[in-house]
Amino acid sequence: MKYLYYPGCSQKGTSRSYEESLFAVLSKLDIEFEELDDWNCCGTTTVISVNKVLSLTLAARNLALARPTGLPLITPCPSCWLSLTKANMVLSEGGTLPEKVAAALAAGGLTYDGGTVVRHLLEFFVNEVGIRGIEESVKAHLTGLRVAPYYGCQLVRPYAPYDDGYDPQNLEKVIEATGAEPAAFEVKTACCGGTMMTTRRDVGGGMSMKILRNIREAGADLVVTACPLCQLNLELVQYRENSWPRGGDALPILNITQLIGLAMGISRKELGFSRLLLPGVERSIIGKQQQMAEAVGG
Amino acid sequence: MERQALVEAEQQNDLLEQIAALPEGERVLSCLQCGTCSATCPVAPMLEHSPRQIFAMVRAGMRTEVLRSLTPWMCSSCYECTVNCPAQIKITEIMYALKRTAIRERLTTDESDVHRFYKLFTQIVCKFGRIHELLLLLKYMMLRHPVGLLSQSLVGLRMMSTGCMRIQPHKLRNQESFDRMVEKALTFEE
Repeated sequence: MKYLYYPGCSQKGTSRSYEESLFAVLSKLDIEFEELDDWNCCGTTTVISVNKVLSLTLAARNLALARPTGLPLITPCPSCWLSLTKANMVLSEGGTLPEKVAAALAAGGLTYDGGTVVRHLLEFFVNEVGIRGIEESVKAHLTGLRVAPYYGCQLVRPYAPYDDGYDPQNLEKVIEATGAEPAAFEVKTACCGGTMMTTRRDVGGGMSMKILRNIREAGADLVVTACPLCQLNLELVQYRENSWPRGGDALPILNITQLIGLAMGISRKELGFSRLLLPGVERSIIGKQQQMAEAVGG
Repeated sequence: MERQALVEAEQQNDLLEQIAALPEGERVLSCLQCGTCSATCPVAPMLEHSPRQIFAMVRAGMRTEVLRSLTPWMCSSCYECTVNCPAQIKITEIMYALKRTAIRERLTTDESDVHRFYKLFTQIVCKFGRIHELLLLLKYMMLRHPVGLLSQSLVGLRMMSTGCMRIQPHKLRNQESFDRMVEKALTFEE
């Protein structure tokens, strides 16, 4: 089965581990993702803070490029998902905005009359691959591993068409399908700080640290996210502050596709583990897995 | 007398009118001042003006104070306020509008350089079609935080060594068409 893939900028840079693990997992599932040709930045929350027509036009160009294929556009990034979804909504409403965006698209030789379906990868895994589909592909059950499901904000706010916005469950479902145990914690939909990790380190860092403290209290072995910026920020704040407990290890922050891939028995190299920011994280997961294997073997 | 002044302020309140005229701003007049936005906002404790106060200031016609406030620039776009507002005001969208207005009217405050980060990000996307993290961080840090650049370079080098920080920017295939589209979009002020 073939789908159209919108990577978003992070997948080609800071989040290469997310993309590599995604493709490793897809090949095991016999699913083909074809990258949208000549895609551009979705505009995210940044461009809309500078120029709204430009922001919607950037998103709309991708929707216009995808339209002739008739395929749904799947993105692993919640911020891309939100920008593209919002553009679809605004362009279908009245007012002058759709006209202005249409004029800008026309200047580039493009038209868009709606119709491109945009889906986020997590929802795709839950509803299209299916939890049973993931379970059937699992070769090495991750029994005994306690995994914190961290959603962040834009995956569930302001829209949550595929999950409960206040108590989402899709990550938990995927974690359970791998044989691991979801660790319950309070702030699973709190914001990691977003770009403030760069522009206001005091504020952004504080927000990420608060989430990590809560996760540690919940006794999780590692964290999974379905957002490239959440994944980066929770690693970055630990790297910068060297903030893991004295003598202890950093808390590993994995992309959800890396967790699925581990359960499928895919090698850590293929899953992009060497691209993670935190040194030693790989070691701590291998250690935990060895403990698990010994426990099972013994 | 004070009440009279407030009524007059509301009558000549062009910022309020401007927000109410936005597609996302129509419900701004329904604000109850209940403070749910401030209670759910993760950065509110660090703000001089909480979101609730911003809406009171808009209502009171404190145009310059609102547009010079750090609050919109500290908004992380987490949408907590938006989904919890009992008056269904699209608060996050209004924060975007306040940021755009502050940039347009050159009222951005020097206390914060978040607007410079946003403008650099937008410039890079306009030029290459995608963001180029290395260029963004180098330009932003050199401009504002030359000392921070040194401490940041360790993280940057680590990310280059893992292949997660591209050296060369991406090139679009249809650059000319993209340029014409961006040029046209920038002619609209909204």
